[in-house]
Amino acid sequence: MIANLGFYLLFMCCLLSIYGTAAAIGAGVWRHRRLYLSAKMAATTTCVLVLVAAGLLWFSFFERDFSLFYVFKNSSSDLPWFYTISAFWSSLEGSHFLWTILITIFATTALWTHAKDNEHIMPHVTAAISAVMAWMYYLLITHSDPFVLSLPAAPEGRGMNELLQNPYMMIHPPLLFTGYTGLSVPFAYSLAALAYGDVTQGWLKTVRRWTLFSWIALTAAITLGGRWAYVELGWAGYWAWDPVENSSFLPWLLATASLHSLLIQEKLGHLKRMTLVLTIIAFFLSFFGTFITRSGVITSVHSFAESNIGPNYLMYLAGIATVSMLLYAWRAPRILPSEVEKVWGISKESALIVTLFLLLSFASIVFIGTVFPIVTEALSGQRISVQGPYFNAFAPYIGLLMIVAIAFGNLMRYQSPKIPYGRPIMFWSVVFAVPATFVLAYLGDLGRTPKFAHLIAQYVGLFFCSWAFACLCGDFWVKLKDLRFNWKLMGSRNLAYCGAFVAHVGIIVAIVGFLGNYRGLERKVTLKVGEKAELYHFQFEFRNGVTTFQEHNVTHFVAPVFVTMGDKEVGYVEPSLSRYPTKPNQTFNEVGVKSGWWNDIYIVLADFDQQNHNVATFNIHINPTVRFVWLAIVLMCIGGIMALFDKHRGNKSRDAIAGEWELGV
Amino acid sequence: MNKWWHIIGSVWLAVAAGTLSAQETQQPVSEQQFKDVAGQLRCPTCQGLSVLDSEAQFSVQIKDEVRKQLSEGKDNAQILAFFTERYGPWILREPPKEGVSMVAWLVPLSLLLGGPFLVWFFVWRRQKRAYAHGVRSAEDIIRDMHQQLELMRGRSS
Repeated sequence: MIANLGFYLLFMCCLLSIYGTAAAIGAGVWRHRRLYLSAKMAATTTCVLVLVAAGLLWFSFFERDFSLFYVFKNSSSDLPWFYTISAFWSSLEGSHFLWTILITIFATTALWTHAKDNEHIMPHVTAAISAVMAWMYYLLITHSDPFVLSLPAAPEGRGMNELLQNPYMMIHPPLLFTGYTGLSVPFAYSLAALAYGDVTQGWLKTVRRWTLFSWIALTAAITLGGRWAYVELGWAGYWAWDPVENSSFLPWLLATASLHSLLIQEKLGHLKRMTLVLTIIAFFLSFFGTFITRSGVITSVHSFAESNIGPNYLMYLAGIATVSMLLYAWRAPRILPSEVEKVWGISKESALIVTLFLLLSFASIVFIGTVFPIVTEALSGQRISVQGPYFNAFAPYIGLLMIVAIAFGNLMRYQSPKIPYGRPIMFWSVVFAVPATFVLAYLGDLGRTPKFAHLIAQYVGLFFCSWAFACLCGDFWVKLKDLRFNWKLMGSRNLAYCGAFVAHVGIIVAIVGFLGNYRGLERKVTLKVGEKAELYHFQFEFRNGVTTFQEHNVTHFVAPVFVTMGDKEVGYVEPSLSRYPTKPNQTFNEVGVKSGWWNDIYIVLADFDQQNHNVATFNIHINPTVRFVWLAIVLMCIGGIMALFDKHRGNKSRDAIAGEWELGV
Repeated sequence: MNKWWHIIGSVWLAVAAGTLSAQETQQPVSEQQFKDVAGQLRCPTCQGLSVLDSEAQFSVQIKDEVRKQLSEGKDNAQILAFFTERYGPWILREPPKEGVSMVAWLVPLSLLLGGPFLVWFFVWRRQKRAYAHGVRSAEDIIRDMHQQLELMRGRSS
């Protein structure tokens, strides 16, 4: 019953969004206002219907209605309530469904909250976004229907994927999809701008907001994913450059690039077409990521043919690419040039171009690395791997160049080769950076780095990071001085600048954190109760043996390790293995982590004596400066949110008022 | 000027000190060598991990094999060649630097090395165009007028 109703609702959603697309295109062509309103209502109704359908699926999950195949496959009666909520998106059909729900919600929000200035391009926006929705619903009802029945109903479900029974996996997927689907609004606006023939006044503000919103969501989501890998998978890292991670990183890079391109467009009116292209590619890559992860094409090209959804995604991607390119080729020449005269050369806009170049190069390297194995296998049949070492060969150089670009880019001014207070800032930033490097090197204990080349890399990295930080502070000081140290004015008028400052500091802190990867230590030990092991400055004592306890559906086997540092107590670290009733023969890692600023003590319980519980094997890792990375991401998100709440950004009037201090001395 | 020499000197000293202490804490050669080799081989059953980071059965077998061959006195290249022969280039975590796979190395390299020229060219060309449409210097305007005059003379004769 519920299954039929759910499918019926989704089917209606599909029809409605097809109608919405057609109506909106008609409204755009004939400039027919009521037809446009009808398309808008179609999108709104779709939103309501899909929320009801989602409610039905959740209801079935809570009712443990195993006659629904999806519920049967992904849950069981012993699942606690909070994981029952997230079981919704724990496999293919559900996560596709979640994606569709979010895209519908954001589409409706975008249609109802558009700026007055954008009224005349709204039919185009509606058409683009309804077309995206229509395709998602089509896929949902044909290839990944979550409401498939399996009768007679099984008495017990197969259980949710154990690896996903983790708090981070409750937040990570919705947040990531929020980022992905949020990018569809700038995409729709870009297509609308092309269809209309120019970028309009209110366009920039809206696109900036949505891009920033998606950027924040993506930043947070990617980190939560890394955090999950860190505490759940037990290989002592948070980023492995695997295709799934790469495909979430690519839209992030493009969103970052388009934010910077929007900045030039806002201040000078240049790079309008660049922004359009970047937003389109960002959207394209968000779907490309799903295609690559969903179709099974990464494990092998041959598994691609086995699923139906793969070829469909490919067609869809080709469709987006073709439509966007044709529209661009046809309409882009009509876009009017900027009113502001072009004076490139040494100036902030050129520095921003360099930033764009770095971000896009990085994106293309990640793209090549992700796609290359697939392409070579398809063309020559030979399988090769492109993994961490390939990306790590390029990433440090790009990171270094980016730091330099951040420092100079922030110091420079638009349309002027002069840096206000350039000399003192350069002098004092170096004076600051040299001792700061050594303080950081001392506190982080760089001496334990096993390889000489890596040691040099860390010194160089630390120096440039502290130098760039000082430059950023210098620029902040100049901005503040221009306002006569009126903090209140700075906060109200230059909030977006303050946000950018915080986010850039975040990137620098992140890179300091990444440098810690060069000096991680590890050791594998087997201990009896009462025995001690040593690694780095820490002593590890296996005091109490393995204890067992039950929590919700899970049995945990905890092996607390007492850590001391010389005479100082650090405390217990509690690595454990957990066993789920749905998979009685398997155990899953719950890593014990004791975080500190300079070292994470990271212990994995590899194995233990099942009978006597008095012998256990541990993988002990010392991971330096991981906490810096988490702090960095928090900073970046805070910076993004601050910039999001700048009321004035994108308003022409504000630029006229603020012109004196925006364009420098 | 003297101050700068002090700074440079202290940097040099500190780096040297760091290096010396690094050498002290260096692990026994074989362990480091093992990590180097195992770090370059992929875990066949996982995604994106090296055998070094993985405790999967297959990876453990490979690690044992690496240790065995290291104790036999083989060097890194020989061991990697052994595994490449057995499992194909797929077992290596980087694409091989030969044949078609060179593309994967050359494109990023050319981007990074040629990039500055690309950006410079882009910006430089834009600057030219700015002169064509925007404000021009008096000399440019006079030269343009002379050119136009030349053209008109050419046509009339």
